[in-house]
Amino acid sequence: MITAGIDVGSTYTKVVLMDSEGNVLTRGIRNTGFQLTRVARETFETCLEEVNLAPGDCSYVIATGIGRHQCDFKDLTVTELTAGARGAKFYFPRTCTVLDIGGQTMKASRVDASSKVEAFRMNDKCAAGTGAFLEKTARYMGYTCKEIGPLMETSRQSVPISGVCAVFAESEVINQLSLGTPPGDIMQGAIESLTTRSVQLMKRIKGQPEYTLIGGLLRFKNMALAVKAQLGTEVNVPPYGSCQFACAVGAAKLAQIRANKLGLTGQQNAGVAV
Amino acid sequence: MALQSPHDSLSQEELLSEGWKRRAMLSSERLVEVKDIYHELGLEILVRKPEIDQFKPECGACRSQACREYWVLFTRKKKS
Repeated sequence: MITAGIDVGSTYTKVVLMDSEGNVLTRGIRNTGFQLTRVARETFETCLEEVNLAPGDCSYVIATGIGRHQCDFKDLTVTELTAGARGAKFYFPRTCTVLDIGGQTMKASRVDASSKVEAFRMNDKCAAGTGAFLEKTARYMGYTCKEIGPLMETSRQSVPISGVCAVFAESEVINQLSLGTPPGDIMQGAIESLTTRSVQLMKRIKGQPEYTLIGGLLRFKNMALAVKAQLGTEVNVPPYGSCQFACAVGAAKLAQIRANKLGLTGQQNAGVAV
Repeated sequence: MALQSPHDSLSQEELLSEGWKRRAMLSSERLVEVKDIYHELGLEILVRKPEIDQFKPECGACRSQACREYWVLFTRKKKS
């Protein structure tokens, strides 16, 4: 039995296919853009082709993320919170606190042993506490999103970036550049600014170990290191490249549980609009 | 998006004194997602437009734009 998790996020759409043993068969990612329905379907179909499957081979599909309702071949939708909690537990079963930093949101949640969310907080107002903030900071300095990771690796001493919003941070970045501060140090400062916000969120929900960090921003190794340093405790990070797939993995796992409950064993109606 | 409720005439301070907690300020599209999350957590939800004096002066021109395009979400435990 094959199940699928589709995470239609504000920045990227992620798809995971899972077998009945809970193994991730394949995964795919594309820019979400403005055609959410089409991108979700194409990413799903590309994943199926990679493992020589047809849409009908997939028993159950769960969609999550801000664009989940636009996914026209889903069997069910769940919130990012539910999917993220399940995804974090998939990688680290003893997870008690989940920090999810995506393109537009930062969310902290405390979860119980059964992956039920007990407490939740998210960033307020604008995108200052999210990936968009880092992307803008990089852009002000003439770097692309892909260059953020390597740029941070060059940092020797971070500089504080205290901007309360992404717009306001621009003047700080320009000021630092005019002082001759290396771009890597500015980028690292931006990461640490985000980290401070994320640790505050986790304190507000009375987060407890084990802490698991998910979301696109955690693909930058320095982000996890900064959270670890500020929290003063170990943190879990899914294997390299898997952080941004955690919600899709969680959705696929929930789809597997749901399919088992419904007694679905093989080919079902996935691929048909519901 | 406007929601009519008996709490519409209350100030933010009055809402807080009635047990509401201010959770986040959100754009319309993000509001739908976050409302679902708090609904899933079994909480009562109230949505209001922000007021300009709720922003710091350094937010500048973003303040008036945010007042037009953003929403403030409050939650409280449902009365049993």
